[in-house]
Amino acid sequence: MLELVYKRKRSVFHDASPFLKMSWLFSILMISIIFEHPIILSIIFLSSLLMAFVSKIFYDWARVMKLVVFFVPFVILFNLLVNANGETVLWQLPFRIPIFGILNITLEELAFSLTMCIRIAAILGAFAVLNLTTDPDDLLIAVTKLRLPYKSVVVTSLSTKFVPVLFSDLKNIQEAQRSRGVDFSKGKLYDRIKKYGAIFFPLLSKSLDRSVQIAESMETRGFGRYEKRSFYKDTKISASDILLIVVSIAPLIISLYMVSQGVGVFKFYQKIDSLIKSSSEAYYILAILLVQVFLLPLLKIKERMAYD
Amino acid sequence: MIKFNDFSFYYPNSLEPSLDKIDVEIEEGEFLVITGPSGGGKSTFLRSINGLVPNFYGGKIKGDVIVHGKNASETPTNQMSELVGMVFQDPENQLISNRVEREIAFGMENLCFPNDLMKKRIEEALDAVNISRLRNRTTSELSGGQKQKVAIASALAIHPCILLLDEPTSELDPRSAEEVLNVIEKINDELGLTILLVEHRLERVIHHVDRMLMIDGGKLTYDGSPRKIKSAHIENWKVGLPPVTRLSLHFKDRIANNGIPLTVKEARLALKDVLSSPKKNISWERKSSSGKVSISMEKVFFSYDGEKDVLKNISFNVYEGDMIALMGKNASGKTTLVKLMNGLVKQRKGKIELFGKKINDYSLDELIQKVGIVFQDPNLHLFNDTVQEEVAFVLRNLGMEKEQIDKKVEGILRRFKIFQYRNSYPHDLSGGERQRVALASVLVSEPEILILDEPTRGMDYFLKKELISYLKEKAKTVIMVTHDVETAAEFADRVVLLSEGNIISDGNKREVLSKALLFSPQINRLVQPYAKYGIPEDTLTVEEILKVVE
Amino acid sequence: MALALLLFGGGLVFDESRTIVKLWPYEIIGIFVLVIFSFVYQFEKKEFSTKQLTLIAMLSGISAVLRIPFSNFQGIQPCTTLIICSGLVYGPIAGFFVGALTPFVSNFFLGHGPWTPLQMIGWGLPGLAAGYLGKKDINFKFIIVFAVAWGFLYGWIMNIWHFAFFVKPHTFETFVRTYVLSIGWDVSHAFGNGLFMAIIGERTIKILTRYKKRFTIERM
Repeated sequence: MLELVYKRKRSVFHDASPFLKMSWLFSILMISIIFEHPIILSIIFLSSLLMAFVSKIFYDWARVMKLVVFFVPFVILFNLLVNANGETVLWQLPFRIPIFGILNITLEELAFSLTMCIRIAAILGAFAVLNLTTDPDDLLIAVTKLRLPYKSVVVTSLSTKFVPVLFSDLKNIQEAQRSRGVDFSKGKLYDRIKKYGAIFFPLLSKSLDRSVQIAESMETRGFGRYEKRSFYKDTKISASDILLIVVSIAPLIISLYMVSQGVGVFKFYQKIDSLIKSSSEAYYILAILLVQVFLLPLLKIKERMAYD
Repeated sequence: MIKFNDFSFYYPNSLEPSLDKIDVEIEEGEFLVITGPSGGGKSTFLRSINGLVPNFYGGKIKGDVIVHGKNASETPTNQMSELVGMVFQDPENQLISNRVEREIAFGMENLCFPNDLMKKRIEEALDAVNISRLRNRTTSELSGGQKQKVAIASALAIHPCILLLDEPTSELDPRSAEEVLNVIEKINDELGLTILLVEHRLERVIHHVDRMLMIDGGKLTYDGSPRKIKSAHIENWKVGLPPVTRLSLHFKDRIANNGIPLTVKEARLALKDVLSSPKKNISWERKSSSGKVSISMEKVFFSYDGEKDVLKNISFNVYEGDMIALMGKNASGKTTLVKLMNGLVKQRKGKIELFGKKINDYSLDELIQKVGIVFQDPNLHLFNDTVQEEVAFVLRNLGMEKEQIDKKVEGILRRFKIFQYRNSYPHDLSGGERQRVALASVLVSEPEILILDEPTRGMDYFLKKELISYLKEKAKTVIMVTHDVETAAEFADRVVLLSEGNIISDGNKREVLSKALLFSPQINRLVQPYAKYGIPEDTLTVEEILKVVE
Repeated sequence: MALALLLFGGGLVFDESRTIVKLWPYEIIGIFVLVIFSFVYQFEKKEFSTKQLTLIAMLSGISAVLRIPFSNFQGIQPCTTLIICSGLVYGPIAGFFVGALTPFVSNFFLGHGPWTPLQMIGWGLPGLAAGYLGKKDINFKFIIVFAVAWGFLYGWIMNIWHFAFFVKPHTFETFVRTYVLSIGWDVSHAFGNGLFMAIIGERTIKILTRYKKRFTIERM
């Protein structure tokens, strides 16, 4: 049910420094935002797929990605209604729709929709790899190292930590209320919302009690005693980590260079571009692919070294 | 060390004092157990030592509490933290980090400890509570007992002089409770920390403590060694002294002068004369079941994830009029078994019938009239604005008339001593009171079969008695999931033992509970050597043995 | 804040070839991130007790859990109601945080993405606004209207994302079409918000207020 929940495991990416994970994610995210080029986006998607495979989370990851497949028809429909563009008409809707006029299904629309789905898949996939391999707490602690304010981080990390607890509270309350005769599967919308109260209010009250107890526990351990606080176990960044971070950022740098050279722009409308327009474009794309893939053996080597 | 000077405290908007003119002094290195009825002021007492009362909760105070020369009522709790550590009741609500090491470091981080000192202290703290092997684990995968040990380690790492523990074992099964208490004793013995422990289950700690305080109605009603209890006290006591102690107090004049026995071993010696000369020759009748089947389970399997079976091949009948205690370690499948009985979860394989009809064929309304279930956490049940509405809720759902509802509700509220709170908001009540509201809200509809999941947890002795007598009088068929052997011995006719999803023992309570190592009540263990003098070896409770020897 | 608004203005750039408003989507997401950080800054400056911090954490935790599918039932969820009530009772900054953390935390379980900042703003602002409302004595009916209005506003904020990511070319016409298309969804969302607020709002406010009142010190 909670598919994206981090599970403790050992793998190259699980054990990697949170900074590396963040730079990897940042690079992927930025590239997929910069380009609309279907090949580049596919490469980016492929790279999170490989990472999921190497981190032994492929099964969980694939379940998340399945949601994107359900998403595809909606995106196509949405584009059909909104865009109504493109030259290569594949099929024309036989009737008029008010406001939207006559609708054409064009090759360009289809291509654009599918590319956007790949884009979403690339972004979601990379975030899913991060979520599945990283304890949110580790990320938040890493963020405090970047001199982000502690108070906000504490609140966020507490909130994240208690989500699974609150979730099981919710299930238990549902069971308890059901055994008091609250039938959640029956009734009109109004009645259902009323019944929802039977879950919502106990959850709210119980959580308010929880919040008091957590605050007690924090104060008895000196929370807020001084303005400043010290931090346990500063994860030191080693030279190898820095190398890995540079490698993970490299594709982004290539991409930025490409943009400055005007390469890699892909036009869908009015007439769709061909996939590869010039040989220099092909070389750049190949370079991104190589650097992306290059990260994996480096991670492996680092793992070897860590065991020795 | 710790000195209460005429200290009184009222919670905000409360007219009754929660602590009433407390005057007491506690020496360095003492191990104190604090006991008393639920809602009597034990927790408040503890919280006034580190300033949570009144600084955290608000309210009215009078007098003061001096801890190591500091006025606790006027010092914020986070400043008291260097002197006083505290461990709370619910393991779930006191761990704030996902990692064991980080959790232990949390307090030290707040107090700006340097990194290498933290490393050293974490090592020490892990060792002190024997959990070094858990160091790299995430806290969410720990058991309740392990979580409590982490909480203790986390308090110890700061090196406080005083450790306060507020019912640290009440959410745990007996095994883990035992382990946590052993750790606490060890800390007192080896590190010499002053320890104040609030605890209901006295039989596990009472023989280790130096001093016992009892707080009832906000007043300090007993202060001294547990061995010095006089029988005069016990009549008005609402706390559960260990059964052997209660028994011994009846024969106070015949016990030598080295004090009241607190353990089975001590009682065997002290009561030798009494137990070797029984007055009557009694053998206990074993109540047999009615033979009318209410629930029948046939070869039932159950699994949550489709892989590992939580229940394996369970065949089991509940007969009308049965009073069943369902026992077993944590995660043995007890709660799952009772959930199957009212259709909250569905079996993977096998047949479950309720009064001869398949359980899945019942509608929800029919089902709740047949089977009522009260979960261990009362907060799950309560959502109405007032206690009265809460209890009337099920009856109204069943379409009963208003006058009849009012009458029934009043009856049960009086019975459980919560009538005075009928217009209060349920979540404003104390834990024990909430528990009674939740119980009342299910019991009021008088279901054919009543299932109670750990109903006596956190209840004091007095309330347990009240609950048992109510069940015996009003309820038809009861299945009680419980860890508490003494409650099982008093309440049940039939005991079912579950282990790892299998029923390993099922029969009359005298059969199952006597001479079982882990699940025997204290009295049963006490009488074993005296069977040859004519005391029945399946004697289970104080009342029973009194019948034999008085 | 002023800076953020200026930048927001900068996001709407006129495209010379079509003389039509063109939205620079990523700039807007960037601006939203800046707005969020400006609130984080205010949050850090303000004095909060430990109790208030854990309270904000817990409320946003509940709200996040109720967003997760299978836990909300039959697709309806009372997040907005809880966020608005939190703002009303505990003030603007707390309200904003409960709201903004709802998607931030739940997306750890549902999937983060560039949409996260938009959602944070879309849910944070009603909490903030409710915080200012809560300082005045207002009619509960107005709060219901307020909840309904935020149903629409949330939809419109999220449309920026849909428009930016799924629509091409970015013309005024496609912009309008995007907003027209979302009307159905927005109406049902707004209607659900109003219904939830009407049915469970008052009780929620009562519970939150009761909790707030519980802590004050007096000496005899």
